[in-house]
Amino acid sequence: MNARGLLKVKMLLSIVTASALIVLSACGGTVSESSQTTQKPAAVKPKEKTKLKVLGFGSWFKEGMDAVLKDASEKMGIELEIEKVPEGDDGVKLVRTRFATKDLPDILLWSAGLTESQNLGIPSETFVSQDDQPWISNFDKNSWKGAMDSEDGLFYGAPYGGMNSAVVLYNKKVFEGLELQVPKTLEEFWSVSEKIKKSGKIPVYLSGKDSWTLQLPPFMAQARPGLSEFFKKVNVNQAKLSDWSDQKRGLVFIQDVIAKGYVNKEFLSDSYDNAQKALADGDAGMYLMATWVMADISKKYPDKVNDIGAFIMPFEGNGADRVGLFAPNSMYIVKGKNQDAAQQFVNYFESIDTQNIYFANEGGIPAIKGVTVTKLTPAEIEAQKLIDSGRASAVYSISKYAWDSDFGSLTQGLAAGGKSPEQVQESIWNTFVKNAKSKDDPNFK
Amino acid sequence: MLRKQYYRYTMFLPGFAVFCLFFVLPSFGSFFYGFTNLDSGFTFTRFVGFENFINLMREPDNFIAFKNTLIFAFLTTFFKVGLGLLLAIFVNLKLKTTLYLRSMLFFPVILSTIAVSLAFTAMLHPERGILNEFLRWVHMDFLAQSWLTNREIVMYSVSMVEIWKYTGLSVILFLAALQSIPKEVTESAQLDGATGWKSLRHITFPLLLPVFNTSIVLHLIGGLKVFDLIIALTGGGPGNASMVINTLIYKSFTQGRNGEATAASFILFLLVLFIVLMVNRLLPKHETER
Repeated sequence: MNARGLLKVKMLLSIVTASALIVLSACGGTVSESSQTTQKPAAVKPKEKTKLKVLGFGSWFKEGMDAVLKDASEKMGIELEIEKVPEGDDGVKLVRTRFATKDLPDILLWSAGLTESQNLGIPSETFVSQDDQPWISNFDKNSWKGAMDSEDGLFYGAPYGGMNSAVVLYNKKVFEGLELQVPKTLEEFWSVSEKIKKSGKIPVYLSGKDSWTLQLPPFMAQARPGLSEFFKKVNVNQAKLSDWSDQKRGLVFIQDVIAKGYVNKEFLSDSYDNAQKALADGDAGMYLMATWVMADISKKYPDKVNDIGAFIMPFEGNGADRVGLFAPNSMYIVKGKNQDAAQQFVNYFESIDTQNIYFANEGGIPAIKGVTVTKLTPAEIEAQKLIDSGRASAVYSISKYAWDSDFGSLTQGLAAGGKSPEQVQESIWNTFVKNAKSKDDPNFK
Repeated sequence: MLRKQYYRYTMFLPGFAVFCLFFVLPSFGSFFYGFTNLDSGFTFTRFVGFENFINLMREPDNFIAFKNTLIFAFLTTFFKVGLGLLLAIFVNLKLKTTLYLRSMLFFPVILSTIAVSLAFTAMLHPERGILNEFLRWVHMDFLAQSWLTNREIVMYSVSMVEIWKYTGLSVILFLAALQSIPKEVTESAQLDGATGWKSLRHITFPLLLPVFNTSIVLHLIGGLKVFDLIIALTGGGPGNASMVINTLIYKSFTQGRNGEATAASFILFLLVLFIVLMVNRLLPKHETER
């Protein structure tokens, strides 16, 4: 090859290399950004800061975390390099790929209840257990067993963000106007409903157009201390979801409250938005929902937020019923050279002082006990008191396979009269078995 | 000679390759995956034989989806073609408002299905919807219904929206065919005494037959493949009362059972193929010779 030919080959190679680099850089789908604190010079601590890589979903970083980052930089000398991934399946796949290729962060923000089936590695080999850390003394492990721990019973995640609770939200003015007391048994609940109905108001508002909202009564009913034990058996085919008596209580409730005429006339056409208005305006007496609805009511009807309270749905009565807890997301420390510094940050984050900073800037009920500064509404404060008194259990337990992906439309079918509680439970069990079989689970051959 | 033939094939090959790549391969791929336990990560560990197909047929909820799909496809096709023909004959008359009427009839076709669905969700609300308000206003309360939440009538309500939206398409097809009928034919028929109904039955309709057949087949295919309207109007509800095959496929995909979803897609493909072939065979083929 002559010199001219060699030059041509070199040029060609350069073009190919440059193109490949451009394509590769364009393929890097994640958005990496340093926290605000990284751009500011450390005014208080001149010493070199510890840098920790944090990986999490984009929308999980809001005002609360911003405030904490500022404080952490000043007090701890810790700097977080936050890498945000998109929400949903794309983000999940991206994080899984990162873990599969051992491109690991120091801290992972992920949903609670990490298990091996989530494809991030075996938890005990990949993440640092939090069971012996100081912050856990302010955390009610018993309430979260089966929801925030892993298959081996250890807690690898530390709570990140607020939790939510499934309760009966009620309009205090309606109750006061009719001189009603918060019901403690199901009989009292029906009696209260009857009195509200006689006054011309809607006793229990159902927002069946948004089918997911109809899941709340069974969610509340299934929140029981024995839930994780039950699911341990379900996961190995020793118990069936169709025999889930606690959940059935909630499904039967939907049937009964409709049959007794204690709901809004067009409950299948009325939406979550309609429910908020009816409850805030006092057109409806009660709404079975999670406390996340209070954020919407606060925005839309700020002058009526104080009229709304919360109580536990008395399915069984006699103190057996619980507030249904939806777990907060979690922070996981990845084993590696920075795990001590990461643990230091997590201990700082979960301390009462830092939690006060976080919840002063962001809504949600803290899962850490003793947090005094929050943006909670009266209904959320009432729910939190019930939780703090120990009358709370997780709504979900670690399930090896999904069973609830169609639960909203099944409960809507129940409300529409097309299904019985037994048929709903048979359907969710069939879904679970189908998912187990598709994964070749030997227990479901 | 050989060279000429070879040349012919080289012209044909690029198009055939594209056809194979984007149609034949995905079609066979979908057929193949229907026999596996393909999951949400698009990986599969084994062949499951006909398990996915058997599961789909065994579940009573899925039977509703098949039944609803057939009801929807045939009911909407009947009305879209029937009404389309009548309206096309009407707007083919020389009226002052003809142009306006033609535009109005076609207008729903170009509207977004989501926008139409949202509008109808509001209009068909049992308490606040304009339809029931009107019925109550004219003292016909007994006709006021929970149009989209009553399990018994929801499929008919959804079909009504589809008929409203797509009848205009049939109108345009028939109108084009009507205007292509030579005047000499109708005039000589009139001279022979064929007026009104007789002319329509023996002259106009036979000449419209090819368009009539095409319209039926197109609407049947569209009806069997309905998805967006159902999702936006009812989400397949209440419960699963308005579920169709495509919402069933969507459900399987979102639940990570991609093998089952592709099996259902394949069943839908076979169903469309079978019905269209049958209808094509049953429909009268002979048009009057021009």
